[in-house]
Amino acid sequence: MSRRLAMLLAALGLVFAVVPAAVAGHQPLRLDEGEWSGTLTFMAGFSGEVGEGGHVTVDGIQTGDFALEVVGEEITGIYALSGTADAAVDLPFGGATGQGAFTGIGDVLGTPQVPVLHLTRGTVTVTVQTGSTEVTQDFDVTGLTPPTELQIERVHCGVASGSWGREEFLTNLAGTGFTPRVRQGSFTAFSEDRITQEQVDDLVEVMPQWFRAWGDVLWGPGGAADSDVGGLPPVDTGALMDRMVDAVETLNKFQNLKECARELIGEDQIEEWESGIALFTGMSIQVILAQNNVDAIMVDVFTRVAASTGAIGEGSPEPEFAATTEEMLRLEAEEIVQASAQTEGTDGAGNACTEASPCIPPDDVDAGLMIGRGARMGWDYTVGGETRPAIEWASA
Amino acid sequence: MGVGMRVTALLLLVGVLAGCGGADATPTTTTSGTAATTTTAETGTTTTTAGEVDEVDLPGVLGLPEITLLTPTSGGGTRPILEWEAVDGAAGYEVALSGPGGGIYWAGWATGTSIPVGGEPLIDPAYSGPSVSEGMTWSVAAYNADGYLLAVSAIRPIGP
Repeated sequence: MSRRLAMLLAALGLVFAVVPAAVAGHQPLRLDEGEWSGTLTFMAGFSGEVGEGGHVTVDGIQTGDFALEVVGEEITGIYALSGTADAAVDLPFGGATGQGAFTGIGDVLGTPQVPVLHLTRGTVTVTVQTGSTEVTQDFDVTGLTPPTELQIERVHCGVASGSWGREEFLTNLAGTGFTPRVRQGSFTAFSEDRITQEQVDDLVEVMPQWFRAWGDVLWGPGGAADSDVGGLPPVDTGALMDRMVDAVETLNKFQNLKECARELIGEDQIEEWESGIALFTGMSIQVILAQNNVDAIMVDVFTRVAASTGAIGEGSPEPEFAATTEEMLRLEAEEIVQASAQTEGTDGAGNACTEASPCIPPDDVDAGLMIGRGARMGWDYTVGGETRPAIEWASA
Repeated sequence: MGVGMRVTALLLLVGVLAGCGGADATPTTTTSGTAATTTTAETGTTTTTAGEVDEVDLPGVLGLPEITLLTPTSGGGTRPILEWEAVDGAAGYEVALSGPGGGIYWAGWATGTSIPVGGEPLIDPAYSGPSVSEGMTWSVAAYNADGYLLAVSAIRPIGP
């Protein structure tokens, strides 16, 4: 092997060979559980004096892809890299140029905080031209490339990025007399679970249609929205209940939106949708109560749904409308309690049951359900002309 | 799907409900300020003071078994995890959070024995949604599969 070729091989090998960083820095950032895929880029070179009055310049670039899965505190994955490097040697007695081509594959191991590239097979093909002579030779560099850490510097909305190889490259060149030049040593990883702008756009497009479909049930297809539900023609109660079931699921999706999705959608937009669900749920309950005979369980469930969705309650976004809805529910509950009232005989304590002071049978499960509901809602019930807090009718 | 099945669906679905609808406003706070234990002879309703808000013996009044509440009355932050002891045969539990005025503020449904205020999963403190403030109360009701009450807890004060 000529002296020039040996120098070039040594130089090209340095471009690709890296050693582990001496001390791993603190890594508070980590990859979330799940599958990730990403890209690797490393651009570097070096230059320096060689021989007697000679000068070498080497520049190379590696790019690659990786895929990994985070399970607990472990990472498993694979990666592939390929790259090229150009070298030029100027010596007093002549010059030479060379090219190196690198291919490598390996495993991605380590931890979610510090993924580590482990090269399992790597080859450098070196071609050197000097005058009319060209020499090509393959070299196995697997052993020259120890594990290399990916330094995570940013994780946001399912995208992680950082650097790799830089410190190792500089460490490897230390003491050689060459001047290193790292132009880029970076990686970007994308979580398979990340929310994309396209998904957000889909949701933003779908939600108005979703509300419109609900409105079609309330006011008829194309009907004008009107919160005065009293004058509505008979509506499809089953369809309205289906909408409420869907609303509960949709509201749950909103709550499960991750920070990044909320960021992309916008808090104002989310609050607008949540308010819409509260309002439409309230309207649906009002319509069902106005047009149907409902039993105690339905009143109880509707009250829970209303309180859960903000259709009623002190924090409702539509306080006046919420008050109307809650009053309708209270009246239904009150009717059920009234229907169970006894005006004859005695109560459990031996007190006479009269028109003026009716008794509520303790074994009436429907009345009991409504009294329990009223007690937790802070409602009053009027029975036999007497108004008491719901809780007090329990012992009446 | 019939009405009964839809009610069942609502019963089940409200269990996974976020409960983050519009219930994100902080209620106007007024506290009773009472510090005494009172008993209403006529009804047998007994209230005992805990902090500045009365605790109501709902099980005693309704004649139902009592659900033991496990969450302290304060110290859990604005979205504490509300916990209680299990009731045999319960298909689910409704948690009601009432404002200082006694009116409902937020309700949640759980098939287990805990739920964060605002519903599962816990809403990030940075986001709007139901939260606890001074003068609030909470209670739990256990339901059987038919939608009737099995047991209830006392109505107990809770603050941040």
